[in-house]
Amino acid sequence: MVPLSHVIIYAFLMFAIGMFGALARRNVFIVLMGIELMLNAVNIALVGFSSYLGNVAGQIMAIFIITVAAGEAAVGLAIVLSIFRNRLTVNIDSFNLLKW
Amino acid sequence: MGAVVNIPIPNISAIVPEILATALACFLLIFDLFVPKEKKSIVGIAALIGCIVVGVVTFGYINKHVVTFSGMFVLDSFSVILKELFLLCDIIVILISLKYLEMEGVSLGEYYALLVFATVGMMVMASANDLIMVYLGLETMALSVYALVGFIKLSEKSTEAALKYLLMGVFISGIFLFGIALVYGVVGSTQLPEVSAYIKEHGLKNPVLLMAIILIAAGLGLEIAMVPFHFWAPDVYEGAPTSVTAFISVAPKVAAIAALFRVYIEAFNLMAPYWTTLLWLLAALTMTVGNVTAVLQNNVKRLLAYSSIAHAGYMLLGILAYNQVGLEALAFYFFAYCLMNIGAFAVVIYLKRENIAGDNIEDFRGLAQTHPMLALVMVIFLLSLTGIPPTVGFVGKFLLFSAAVEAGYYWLVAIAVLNSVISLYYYFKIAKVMYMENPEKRVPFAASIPLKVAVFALGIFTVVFGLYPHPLINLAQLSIKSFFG
Repeated sequence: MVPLSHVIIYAFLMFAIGMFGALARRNVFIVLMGIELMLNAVNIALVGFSSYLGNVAGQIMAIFIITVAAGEAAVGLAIVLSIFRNRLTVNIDSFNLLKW
Repeated sequence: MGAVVNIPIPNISAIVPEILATALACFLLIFDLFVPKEKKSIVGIAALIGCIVVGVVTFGYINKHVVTFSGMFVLDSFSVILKELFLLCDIIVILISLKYLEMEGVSLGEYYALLVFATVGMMVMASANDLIMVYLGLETMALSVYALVGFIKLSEKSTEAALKYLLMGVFISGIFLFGIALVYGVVGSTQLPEVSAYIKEHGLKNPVLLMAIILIAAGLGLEIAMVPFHFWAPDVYEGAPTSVTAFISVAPKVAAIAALFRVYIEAFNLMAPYWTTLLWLLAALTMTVGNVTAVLQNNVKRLLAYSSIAHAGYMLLGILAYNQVGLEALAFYFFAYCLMNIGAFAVVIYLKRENIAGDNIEDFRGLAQTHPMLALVMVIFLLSLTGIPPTVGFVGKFLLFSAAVEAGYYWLVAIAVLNSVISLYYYFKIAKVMYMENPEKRVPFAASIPLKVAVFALGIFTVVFGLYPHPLINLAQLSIKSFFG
């Protein structure tokens, strides 16, 4: 049995890595991957809490979140595709038409 | 481990409005296949009729109070009235988009289906009694709205706006989820009454719960466009198709404020000393940043985006006041804001013609000479947004500010009043261009009949409810009956 603290520390670290990827990288795909990592970190935390509390609600929430994350990825990639067709780039810094 | 799960049979009758709206959206997707390409506005008319039907059915639930799906979903008068508001937004937005989409060259049936799917998400948010339900509603809404924002696929601005909204939205929803996970870890449940019961039993000073409060405020604050989560709003509002801007400036904002209200009042009510301090600061910042930055704008869509940030700040006053008057005022303001803000964006759509977007302040030049009625209606919306009688915006602001005074937030009200004065400057920049300057050349507008009906009806209702606000006040009183018996 893995102690709760290990699971939560792991989830926190993964969340932080995902957040770093989302904030620091300039390629849209890496940013989206970073965000997916954040969502998966939440799933790990939820499942960890669920097993610690002996309460299945957390696991069900994790399934909901996986479903939503799939939807987000689908919509996100579709939008990236349509912006790529217009600009021929996926670098975030070049999407600066709308500002101030 | 080895927990036995008892799944009680949920009370389906409580979610009839959501089921109907989902069925409507699916029907529109299929119906779209049978409509020829040049006649897609038929799908819009079907959506319009469908929304009216769903609205009428939903109204039948107004006096019910049902908690179902193991306490995850609550149907009360507050949620019913919000659902009516979302459907009303839908109806107005469909009216103003019918011709507009053709002019943008994206008259497609999915538009209306996405609009209704977004509404389903907001209806769930309004009824959510569980944090995970709030999240699911939020995402159902947000995923549809991302697609709507990027609806003009060939426009660089529209796709860029969609990408910015998506990245911000998904990033913040991760943070929101982390807040939910923390609440779950501490309480063992994410249902609002159970969170409240836990706090009552174990006291306030759990740092993890305090962190969760902040993370959840961040998640909902993005949709509200609350400072410091407002950076997406001006870009997205400018880039999105104007009809979509009208929709997202009102409906998701109201849904998120309603969810914030339910979560903070029902779950974190005993932690009020902590979150009122937080919201006090955020409300003051939201109003000030929104209004001060709006002064510098020359694009009307962008100006209205900053103004809608400021309005979110005023609405937070209603949550902060946390008394009966405050919540009534908040519910009233939702309707007032819907009328005047969609109205202002509808006028921008009215100005849209060949090759001219209609969203630059120069496009309003001399409107009073070429189209005196339209200029008058725009002035009514601007007066209402500023909060000057005899408009519905004045009554709404008056109610909100007096509720906040009653709750003892004197400084915050002072800041809000000062902000209203600042807002007068930039709203009347538009009025000045319309009335004091001469038109460059006369270009006929191509406004369709549904758009004309929507603009003038919104203008008339803005004045009528300003002079005679009792029907709306009664509705607002009815909506909060479930919170103050």
